[in-house]
Amino acid sequence: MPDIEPLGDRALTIRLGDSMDRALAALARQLASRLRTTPGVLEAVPGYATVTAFYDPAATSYELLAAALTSMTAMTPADQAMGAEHVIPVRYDGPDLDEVARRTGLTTSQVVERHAAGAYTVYLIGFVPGFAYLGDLDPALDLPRRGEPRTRVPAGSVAIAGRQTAVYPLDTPGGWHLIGQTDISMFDPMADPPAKLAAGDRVRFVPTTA
Amino acid sequence: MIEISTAPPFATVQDLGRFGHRASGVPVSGAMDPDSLRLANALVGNAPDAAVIEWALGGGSLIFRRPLQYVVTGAVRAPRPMTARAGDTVVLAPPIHFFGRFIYVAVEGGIDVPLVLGSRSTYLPGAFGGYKGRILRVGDELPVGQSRAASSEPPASTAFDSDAIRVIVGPNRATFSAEHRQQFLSTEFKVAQASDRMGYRLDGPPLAGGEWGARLSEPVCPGAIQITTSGQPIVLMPDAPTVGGYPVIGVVHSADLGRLAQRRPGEAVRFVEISPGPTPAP
Repeated sequence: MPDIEPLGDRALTIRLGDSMDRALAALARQLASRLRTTPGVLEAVPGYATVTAFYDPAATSYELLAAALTSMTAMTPADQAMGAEHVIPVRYDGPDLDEVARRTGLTTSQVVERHAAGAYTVYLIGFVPGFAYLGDLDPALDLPRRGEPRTRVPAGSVAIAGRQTAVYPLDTPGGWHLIGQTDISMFDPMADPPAKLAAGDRVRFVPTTA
Repeated sequence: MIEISTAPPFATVQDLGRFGHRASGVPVSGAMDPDSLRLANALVGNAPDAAVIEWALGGGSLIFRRPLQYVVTGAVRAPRPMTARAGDTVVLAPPIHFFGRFIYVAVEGGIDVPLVLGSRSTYLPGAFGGYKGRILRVGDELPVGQSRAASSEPPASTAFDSDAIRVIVGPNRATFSAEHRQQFLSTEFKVAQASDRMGYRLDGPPLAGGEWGARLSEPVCPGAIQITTSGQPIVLMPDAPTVGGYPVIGVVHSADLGRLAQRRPGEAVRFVEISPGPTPAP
């Protein structure tokens, strides 16, 4: 039996695993897209290893949706299609680039090479609107978050922490290491969808000097 | 048009919230006490989801540029629709502590700021929605929409006839033992000073005997009760992020979240477990 639990009186969460894993992310993305066409479901949101469906309790119920989800997970994954591909140009001149090089024992150009060599998957969107958690970062660049988070990280900052990387979509506080900057807008409240990236999308970073 | 002539410390434009964009990381926002917003709209003949001013932490005043019906609900003694004439200055008293911490000012026609992602609610951390994405200030001129001729009935209250706040257990059952749930449900917490539109921290004996550290993030929602590393609960509120890494012991029933939101720092909070089914009759 799949692991399904209520998230309040108008949502439920299905747990597919407990690790950061591309296969789980792909499964979560596929379930979310099936859920979006299920009667009574208003929104479906993937986590790393979970999917949450928000529903209209006047149109469906926890029991009905849990049963629908159970039969969905029993089906063979049919849709292996990956998400959209994005290329993000980056000026690798972030304020933490030298420190990242020093702490990883690499030169700054090796840090840039390794970051730009990655083929990343969007695991989930959250923290703030449009913030996409991308993995997996090269293990040679794996550093814990900064001890002292910044009170303001400028929008467009390209950052790393642990085995993940991200672009800050808005000016927000942040504790990741800033290694570069992009001019690409990651979030626009006047666009639909407002976030440039969606869970399951693929991302590459390209060094630029412009 | 209405103008803010004396601004309270914290007033924003809110409606019932911004739905459909959680997969993009956009929180729902909206009124902290949705029942008071619905009541205010019903009393001036607005649609239930018309935008109003959510007002906290002090008093203030408004100048009406044309004659309009208005009403104040929430932390007030008795909501009563009034009519302002063109040029009137209406002075609004601070929320009455005994009744809560937020008041809702609805005007006939609703506050007609532009829709952003389908809602007029202000989301302060993202600086969008509401009036220019920010807190209202002196001199702000708020557009007012067209009045609807139809009158609407005040909504039936779904409030639970008890002090306790109803909670649906989950979705991290495996993280918490029956003893943890029992301890949580038998504790009387107090709303902490650190409580705002993102979340209410609760003071009380910390939940002991477990590992509550952050783990892989998963979707959360307003009302979700996270247990932080130190064992203290935080109840997520409408501006909370869409995903979170702390385990969630339970989620406040959507009909009760407004009652919790109206509790002031130092006020007591007790939780009672219910099933995720339809709202039981009071």
